[in-house]
Amino acid sequence: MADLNEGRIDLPRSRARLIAFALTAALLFTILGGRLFQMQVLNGTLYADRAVAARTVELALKAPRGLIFDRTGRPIAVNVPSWTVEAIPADLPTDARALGVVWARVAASTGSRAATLRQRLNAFHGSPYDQVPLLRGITRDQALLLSEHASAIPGIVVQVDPVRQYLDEAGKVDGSLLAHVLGYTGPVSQGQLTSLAEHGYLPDDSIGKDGVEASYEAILRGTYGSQQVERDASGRPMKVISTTTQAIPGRNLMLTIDARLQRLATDALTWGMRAAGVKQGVTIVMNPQTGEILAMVSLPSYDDNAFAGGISTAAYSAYLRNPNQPLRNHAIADIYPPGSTFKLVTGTAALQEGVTTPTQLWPTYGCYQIPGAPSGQCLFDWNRAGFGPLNVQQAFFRSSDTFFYQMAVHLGIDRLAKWAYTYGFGKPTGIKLPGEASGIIASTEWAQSQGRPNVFTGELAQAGIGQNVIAVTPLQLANAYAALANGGRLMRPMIVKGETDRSGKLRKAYPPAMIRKLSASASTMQILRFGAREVVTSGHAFNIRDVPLPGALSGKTGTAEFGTKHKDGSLPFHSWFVGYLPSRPGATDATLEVLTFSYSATVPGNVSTEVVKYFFQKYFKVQHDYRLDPRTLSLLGGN
Amino acid sequence: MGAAATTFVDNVRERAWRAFDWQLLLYVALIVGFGVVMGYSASFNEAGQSEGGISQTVKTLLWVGIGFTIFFVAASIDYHWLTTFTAPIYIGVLLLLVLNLVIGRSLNGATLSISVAGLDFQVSEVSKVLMIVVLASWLSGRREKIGRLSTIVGAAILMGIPTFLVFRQPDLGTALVFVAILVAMLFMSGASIGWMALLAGGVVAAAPVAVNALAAYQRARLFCFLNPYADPQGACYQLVQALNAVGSGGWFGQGLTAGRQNQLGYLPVQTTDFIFTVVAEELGFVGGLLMLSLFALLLWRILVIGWGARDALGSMVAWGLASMLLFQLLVNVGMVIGIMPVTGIPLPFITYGGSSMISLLFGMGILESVRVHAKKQTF
Repeated sequence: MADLNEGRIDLPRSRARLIAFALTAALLFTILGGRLFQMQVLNGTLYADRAVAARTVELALKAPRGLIFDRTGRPIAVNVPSWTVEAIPADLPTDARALGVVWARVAASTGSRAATLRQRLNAFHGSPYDQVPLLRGITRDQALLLSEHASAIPGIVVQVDPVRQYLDEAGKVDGSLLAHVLGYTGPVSQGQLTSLAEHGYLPDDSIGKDGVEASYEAILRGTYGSQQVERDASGRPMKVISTTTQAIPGRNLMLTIDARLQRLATDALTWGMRAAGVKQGVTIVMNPQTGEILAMVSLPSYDDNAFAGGISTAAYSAYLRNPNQPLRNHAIADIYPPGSTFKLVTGTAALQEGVTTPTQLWPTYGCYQIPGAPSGQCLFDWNRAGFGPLNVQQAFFRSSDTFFYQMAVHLGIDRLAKWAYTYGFGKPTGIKLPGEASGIIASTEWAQSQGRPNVFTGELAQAGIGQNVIAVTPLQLANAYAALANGGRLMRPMIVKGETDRSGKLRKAYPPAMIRKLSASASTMQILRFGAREVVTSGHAFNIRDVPLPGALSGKTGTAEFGTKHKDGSLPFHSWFVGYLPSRPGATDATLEVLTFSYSATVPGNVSTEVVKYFFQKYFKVQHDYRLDPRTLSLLGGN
Repeated sequence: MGAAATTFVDNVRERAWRAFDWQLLLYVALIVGFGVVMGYSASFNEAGQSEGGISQTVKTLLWVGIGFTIFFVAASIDYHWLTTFTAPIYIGVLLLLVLNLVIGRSLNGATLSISVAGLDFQVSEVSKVLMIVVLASWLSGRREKIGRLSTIVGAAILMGIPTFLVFRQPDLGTALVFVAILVAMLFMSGASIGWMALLAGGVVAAAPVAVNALAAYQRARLFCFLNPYADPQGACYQLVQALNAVGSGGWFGQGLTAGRQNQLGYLPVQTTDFIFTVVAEELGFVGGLLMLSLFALLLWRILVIGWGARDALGSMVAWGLASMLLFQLLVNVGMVIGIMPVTGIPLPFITYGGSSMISLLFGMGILESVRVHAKKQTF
């Protein structure tokens, strides 16, 4: 090319400067290319590792919760998928109209109200990238419908989580049959989380809140694994990269409970409660030999499935407002005066401490003059006529109050208390259920803790018949009679029989445990067992006598009037019956024991004996119905 | 070959288009095409944070269509019409920049654009190309006075006013581009190297003062490149994520729309200033080098056109556009590979934005006109 400057009328061009410019450009390109080569090819893995580390996070891999079976292998607590509608605030449309469309669509697909959804979102205060639960427990079809139209409802996701479902003996969804035994699972509270976080609990985790779900939490929960998950810049997990440690599923449990017996006991108690206007009732069925609880009914009950799915505030406060406290397991968490059933303790103590011999006769009275008290201050017997002279066995089956007042007064409070403790009263039995109460056993120490030198003599006498200063849980009482029935071994009540495989076959049995061998002599206990048999044959439980049973039913009744007066001024009636079924009178081979406690009845008389009778009728499939008209219960008398 | 075809080719040759620079068009088209694809990938984001790949790509294609129309219009007109309009253009640029300061819309804290009929009009992008025209026109009229100090002072004043206005927006990146264009065009015009060196020394000495005038966030970002991993979660978070993305690309990259850093939303403004991180992560060293090569070819072609221009006006426009492209490429790519401080400078033709695309294609159209009209005189 010729000199291009030739003929140019303006600025000349400089070849040198062009070359300088071109060389500068070439140098810069070389630097950029060289640096790129260094970063991508030479040090590429370094940056790649940094990138992966920065966007990867270790997330917990939840373990499936262990299942729970009854003693026959029926599944009674299982895991089922639950669908929850959740919103991610950051992904919702910002435009008010578009947002309104989203709410309308979600509401229409789930049969809920748009206003409710909006309200729940507004109540949430957290990161806009959090998933806010709006609607729990939608149906599978609703979930599918929402998922299909995901693109039309930006910011709405359907989350599927396993939740607990509680079943009855027939495999039907029923949250009330075993609510107090199983308890329920629920979200970890903020308060719990601070201490549980170090055990691997997550903010959105659930935990056993009551019953076996709570007391066996560590076994049922299993061990969470962990996985490497890639997150996007806003922190949302997008893709699982690898599993670091596998989750170990929770172990499956077999209860000592027989769900069929639980149903029978529930039905019997429900009938008795309705018949006699009872507000709260307890039935415990157990094997006295091992301490296994075969049924444990506390009424009124509650629906633990409602809790597993996330209970509404309204439903929860309704439970809390109910004066009969359906959420409490009255069998273990509440204490009541044992009444005449406590004569087992007083009788044992009197024989063992030498207050009386087996054959010694004591006078009985219509009203027992309290020693040291002004004349005329006496304690009535339930039988205002008195029984005449009685020995201890006769006094036990006839349930003479004045006989046992005398025993108590001669024993003194601390010797009586010693035997109460021996039978397991005054402290929790140690059953693996949360919330067990201790009860009250009066003693010098107890009186002094109340700021007085000792109990009054009147109180001492009443302690002898299980009133006033004595309070026990129904389970403690059942367990004390179990020790009588089995020949003196106080067993620790068991609620879980062992661990099973996924199909409910027992793989590892938990052995029964004995708390102590009672120090009472065999002859003492034999006297009381014969007395207990006579309670059924000719004592207060004679109304069960006619029912044909495969054994010599023995037991003890107890009644009391206390609490808040009814409108007509009468006191509520409470009644106990605890019976066990040995092969013959006095034998220690009983494997079936039933206790029923009826709290606050409107009719006098012992409805608990009728409940136990009805239970036995059902249990042994007795064709004839021996139940009495509840209105005639008062004719039975009590005590 | 049929008679009809021969006639058609002859007809084409009859026109001024015989000198049309197909290479310039080819390189520009390749870079633009590359940019459309990368823009799609960058906005195609599985984390769902952008409005979605398709709609943004459709917009880009619309801009590209308008841009190439302007390219051909500018190419077909003799570029000397520009000299006639130098003064109005200059005044227009100043008015627009002042207007921008007053009513400009807020974007990331800086007022960078004016909204006209719903379209964001980025004044600073357009003003770069227009200032190249103004400066080229003014310098080419200096003739024998070119070596004097007055050339440098005059050009500095001419460029200084818009530079100051842009800096006040605040748009540090564009202000730096103005300075780079000024220096390169003065150098190529034949201005005194002695005076330039002296003034450059003065500017370097004043640099600390300028740095102090910057806002705290600008300063923090500016110095991140010296040691980004000192504060990877704070001020340097974006840069660190970008560096990790670039390095993760390796030889061949992770594949289009498959860059994890890009797709998971870790890259800052990945469709605009940080678009090259997407190129590097998804296409790797090979893709990055391909892009640099296309730019190198384009620059070489611009220099060829500038050298072959009929007059100084044509040459100066070429030098101005070349220096602008080179500087923006250096700073934009340099910042995401950690050799330049982070400033908001777009990658020409590739960064998403209509104003940038249209003004760049307008500039390329003028170059084509310079080429087409280069040899008239020798006939």
